[in-house]
Amino acid sequence: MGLTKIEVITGMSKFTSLKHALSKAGVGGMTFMQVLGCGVEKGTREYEVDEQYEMELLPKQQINIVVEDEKVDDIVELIKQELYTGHIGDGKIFLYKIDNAIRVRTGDEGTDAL
Amino acid sequence: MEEKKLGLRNVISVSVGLVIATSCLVSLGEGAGTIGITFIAAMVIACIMNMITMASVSELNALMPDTTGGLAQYTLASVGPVPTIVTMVGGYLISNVLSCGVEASIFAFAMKETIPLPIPSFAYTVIVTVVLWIANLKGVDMFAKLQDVVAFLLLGSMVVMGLIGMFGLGTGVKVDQPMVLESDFSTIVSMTAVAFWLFIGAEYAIPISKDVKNAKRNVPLGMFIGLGLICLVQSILVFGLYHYTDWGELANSAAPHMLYGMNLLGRPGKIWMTFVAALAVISSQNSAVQALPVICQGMAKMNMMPQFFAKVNKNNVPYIGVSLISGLLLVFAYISDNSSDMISFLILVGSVFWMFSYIFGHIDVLVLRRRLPKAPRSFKVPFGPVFPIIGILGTSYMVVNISTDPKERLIIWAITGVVFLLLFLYSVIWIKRKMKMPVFKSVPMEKVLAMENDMYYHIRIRRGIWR
Repeated sequence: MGLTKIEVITGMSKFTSLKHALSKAGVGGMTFMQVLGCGVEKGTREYEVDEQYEMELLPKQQINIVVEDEKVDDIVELIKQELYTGHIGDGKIFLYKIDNAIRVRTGDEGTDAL
Repeated sequence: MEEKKLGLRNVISVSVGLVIATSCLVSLGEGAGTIGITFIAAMVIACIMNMITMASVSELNALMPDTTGGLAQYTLASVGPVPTIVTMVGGYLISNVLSCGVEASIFAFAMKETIPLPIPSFAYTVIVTVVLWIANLKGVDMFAKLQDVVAFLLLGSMVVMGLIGMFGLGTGVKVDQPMVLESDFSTIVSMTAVAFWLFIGAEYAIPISKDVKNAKRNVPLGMFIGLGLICLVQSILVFGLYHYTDWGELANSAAPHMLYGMNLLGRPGKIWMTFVAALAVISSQNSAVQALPVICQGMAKMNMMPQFFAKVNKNNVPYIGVSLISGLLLVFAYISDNSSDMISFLILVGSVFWMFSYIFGHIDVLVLRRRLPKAPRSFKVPFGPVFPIIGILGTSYMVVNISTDPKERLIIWAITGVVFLLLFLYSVIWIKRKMKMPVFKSVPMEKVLAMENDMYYHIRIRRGIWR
């Protein structure tokens, strides 16, 4: 059974509700980082008239989780529903194939390591 | 994370409370008085049509959550600014002011009959309107805590009085009359336009959805259950009316609830129904005087209405909107004062305006599904475009058959046509001169949501983009 890493980049306000929703969905672990970044709008606020000339990096949060392949669609849908507001800045989700995962303490590999 | 406090029961309570009103009883009386208990079939059809509309509104809310303008913003994102102004100002503001004016005149008639002071009936309306106007200008919500109580008092009274009447347990004299006056399908279906008024307004529950647990299930379900409950209660009432109120008297009464109360339980019944209905009218009027200026304020923020609607007093109240709505309310109350025909007529006119805003709600769903097929929707109307199309066709049918009297129908269409034409002209001129945007081009959804931010307007005014 394969593994997929789901990387979510979103605004600062949604972390708690996302963490709560992922816990309820049975996600077994996550990594959280505070990052700086912007998308195609180059950090332009939604109410501004002109797009920024240079990219302005805004504070964001990045959440990484690894799940079994067959759970990916459901988890991605959950994340989309949880983060969605319709406003610019809702975020992005990236998916990566994982070759393997290893738990250091026991040596378990693959899904057993999750 | 803030705990969401409201559940399914609260959504049902809000939906029922916002829909039930004394003007519903006028429509109920007119409908039942015209075709007998077969009006229940018309009510069921109208209830289903409204449920379909609530499903569409729920999907739109899932796509554009937490918007203050509701249908205005959905329509702006799907079909552009002109239909938005025409359907929101015409569909919502005018029909709400009409309905409150009518409610106020029903209230005045009932008060005059029950407490016969040597003052014209319109004086009761003026007193209540002035009190609510002043209270709202001061930012005092007199009915914040009572709203639910009042709505359920009216609903509970309708249930109790309906059951007493249905089982023939009243103290008054039973009426010997046929159960059914008209039974052909086309007549019943044509009465759905009258029945429509009994169920409109459930979409006002949408703004509470951000505080509701499991909102994607509970909000649409709560609205459906609320509408179903209203249908059931009013059906029971129809049976009660059949036993104790002459159909002809009922169809022509300006206060059928009072007439029924009197016939069922004598003077105590009349006084009870008058008291409960009076509270309900005051509560509805208070809601309108509070909420409609906020809609105008929201539209002014989007630069769709003059900026003076966005001005607030030291109590943070949009005082110009509050004063204007109160004044208009008095005008419509005066026009319909003491006249059951005028009350019924204005209810039908208000229904047509509201129906148009609902038709656009369904169109918004279809357009936004095509434009944003993959956007996450926590609630989506099932079976593809079937229900929105049924909603458009069914509501259009009700507009076309708004009255069984051809002359009255033509007058209603003429009034609607003139109002919409004036609004169309206003909106085209306004959008071209003030907003400087294409009149029929939809505004991208993210821009419509950005308009919620005050900075959106201030920056454009400062840079001379908007005037």
